[in-house]
Amino acid sequence: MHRFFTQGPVPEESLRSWSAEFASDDNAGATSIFIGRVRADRVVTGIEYTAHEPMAIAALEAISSRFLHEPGVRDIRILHALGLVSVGQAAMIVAVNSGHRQEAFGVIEQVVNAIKTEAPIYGKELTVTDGHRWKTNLP
Amino acid sequence: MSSADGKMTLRFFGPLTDLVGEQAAIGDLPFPCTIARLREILEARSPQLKKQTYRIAVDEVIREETDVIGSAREIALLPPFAGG
Repeated sequence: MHRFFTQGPVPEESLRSWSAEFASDDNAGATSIFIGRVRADRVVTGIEYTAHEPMAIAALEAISSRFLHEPGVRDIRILHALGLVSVGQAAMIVAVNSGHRQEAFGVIEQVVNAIKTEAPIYGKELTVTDGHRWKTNLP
Repeated sequence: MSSADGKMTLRFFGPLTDLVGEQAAIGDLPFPCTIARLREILEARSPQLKKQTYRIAVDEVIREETDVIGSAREIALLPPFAGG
């Protein structure tokens, strides 16, 4: 799979290797991490993610490079799931390594919001009745 | 006229797949045409699309309604994104 996508839930072990790589940057003093999990939203049992992959990869590359130009930002990692992700599992993990906490806190929220609005990714929410509904993102 | 070798793919994503499947034959299109005209043609062929919200990407680039396209290898109909 491409470095932005995993088949199935995003393995949280990814954080361990990212953390080790981030720690090797002597000019970085803050790391922020966002883990988006599938929530048991009443009837939802899991989400099946699909994407226009070439366009989504291009969008994630653009997001990554755009925010890497923000002052103080040293590194950004993004991993998003494709295929089935069950309740409690990670659908997306984002990590930002930066000089100081202000950038780490501020940029990670912007990166997550950008992923939700700029990457052609879709989620089919599977329900307990063996039906489905389509995930929508709040503004 | 369609693409240079005559092969063109029409792809649907997200909730549109419930209405029209993931892919469809597109047949000839009156290129050059605007995206707005293309939308009219697609919705005349598949009326289920009429009440749907989607943007149109041509060869992996999202286009505006007034853009004129002269050929395409892939046309993708993209409803609002829902990643994360």
